[in-house]
Amino acid sequence: MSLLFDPASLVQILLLGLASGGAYALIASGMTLVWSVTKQINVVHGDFLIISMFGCYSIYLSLRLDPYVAIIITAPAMFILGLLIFHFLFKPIMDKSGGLTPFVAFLGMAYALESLLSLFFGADNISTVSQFQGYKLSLGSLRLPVTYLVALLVSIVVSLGFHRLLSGTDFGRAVRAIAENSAQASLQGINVKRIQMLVFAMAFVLLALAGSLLMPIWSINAFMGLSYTLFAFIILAMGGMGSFVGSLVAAIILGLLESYSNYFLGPALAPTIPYAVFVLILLFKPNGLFSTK
Amino acid sequence: MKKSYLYLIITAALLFFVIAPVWIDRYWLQMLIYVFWMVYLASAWHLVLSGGLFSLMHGLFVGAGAYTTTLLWLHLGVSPWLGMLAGAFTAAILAIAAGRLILREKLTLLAFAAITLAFSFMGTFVVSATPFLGASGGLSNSFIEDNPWNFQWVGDKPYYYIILIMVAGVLIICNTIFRSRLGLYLRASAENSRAAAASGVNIFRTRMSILVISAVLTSLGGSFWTQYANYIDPMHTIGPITVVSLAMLVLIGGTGTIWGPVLGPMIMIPISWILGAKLGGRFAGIDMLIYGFVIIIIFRFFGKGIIPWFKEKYAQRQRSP
Repeated sequence: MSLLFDPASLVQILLLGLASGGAYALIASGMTLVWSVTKQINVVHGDFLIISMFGCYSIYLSLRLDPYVAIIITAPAMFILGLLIFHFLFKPIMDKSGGLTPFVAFLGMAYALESLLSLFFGADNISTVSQFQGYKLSLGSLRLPVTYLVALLVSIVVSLGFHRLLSGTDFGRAVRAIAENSAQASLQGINVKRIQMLVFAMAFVLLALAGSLLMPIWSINAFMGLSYTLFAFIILAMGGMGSFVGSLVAAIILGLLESYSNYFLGPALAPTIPYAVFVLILLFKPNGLFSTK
Repeated sequence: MKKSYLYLIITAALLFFVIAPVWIDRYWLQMLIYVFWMVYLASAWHLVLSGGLFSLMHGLFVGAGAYTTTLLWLHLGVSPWLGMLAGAFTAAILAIAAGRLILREKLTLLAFAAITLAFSFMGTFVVSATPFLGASGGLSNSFIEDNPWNFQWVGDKPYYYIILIMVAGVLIICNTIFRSRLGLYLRASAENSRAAAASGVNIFRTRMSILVISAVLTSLGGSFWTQYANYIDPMHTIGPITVVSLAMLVLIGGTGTIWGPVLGPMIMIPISWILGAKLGGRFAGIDMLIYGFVIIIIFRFFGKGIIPWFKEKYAQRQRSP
């Protein structure tokens, strides 16, 4: 019982939950951006998170660079990759077929990417050591891993930055116009395809960022991409499709739930709780917490 | 003229598959069993899609069939044939409970997909945490003897003919449903549910009926598989991965026709199987890489699926002199 109500460990769980929530938010916000301008779920989203993490891993192996430093290489690389994938694959399939087909067509790409990764890196779990991994911040009886705090802080800063970008700049106005009605936006002289392409590439940069932050925390393998995609999809539906704030809030809620249920229920049953709460929320708010409709 | 050709092709294909086991070897027979199992599940899943519901929870129904059959057999020695019925009953109850909860007018297609996805995850976690259900390691079926009453045979041929009969059965059921009043209601509620409701279609009852029918059919497929493979685990049975690839196969074949879910698995599974056999051993991963690209190319080329593409081409040729 004393363990149950130990305030220090409860606060610790709170912070760990916030940190993983922040990381989920980074992953989901890229998907939200892509959804809002293309009205498509990017099924390879999780796979590109894993790819950016494997990128960090290879940089670590070859150049001995810390994952936090590797971002200067992975971010531009992911940006270019995003532009290419959008231009040569995402856009053509999106134009050719409507409804759910692009969603499913990209599953094929997810398969291809996962096998490509396993060809290069094998099927085993990998993890990298960051310089900062051993450090723990001690506050009284609290001991917090620095890597988690960094993830939390960066995700807050990035979310605020994106909010600023979407609400305060011409680019942001164009994005919101397309999100509302892309045909109308195109009539107003906005180059819809260019904005979509840029947004798609920006989502990839966010993935590069999330990859660097998560590399010291998680161990990953080549076949995990699709499950992160599905998890991000659930965050999107819970926050309200296309709502940036919504996916942030939903991600934090899911992170906290995961962390607390892990503590109180044990690792076997804990994963069910976030999903149960998600279902409940959608039953009462079918369009999500912050729906635009 | 066109119709008679179609019947000729169907009869020829049926004859081919009935006599195929006489000369093909064990390896290809196993592939065909897997192909027909996927055709069966795809057709059952497509029923729900035709009502405008993108369900990712069908793994729960596969699991209901598989787990009920196996548990009754392992603990009480109940014949899997009866276990199949019990499994179907369990699946129907699950479908009714889930339907009561989530078949609501307000839920969009995507929200429905997300919720059913969550159900599938929750089911996987609960089964993985329950020792009675074999936890994450799964359950193995005990093989006793070559006995039809026990749904157990030494060779693969009996399983092949059973799944062939099941596929024929599910196709007849799908065809009957699509031609019936229920089929009409389904199409109406998929196309525009508000307009359908305004013209007197009871959307809830329509969707609930098709969900239960599809769940029962799916669970029979699950029971079959546990008898054939003698092994089930929560990840692959209940988890969303199988249903997600099923959805992909259906969309490759094309929706809105009973032949789409037949064609998708029949084309794609042999491709992946052959790639796996030729390349899987030496370069593990390359086979899936090529398979993935084949999928992308098919979608870039055919767009809405193979059968709708041919229908469109045929219609164009009819129009132009």
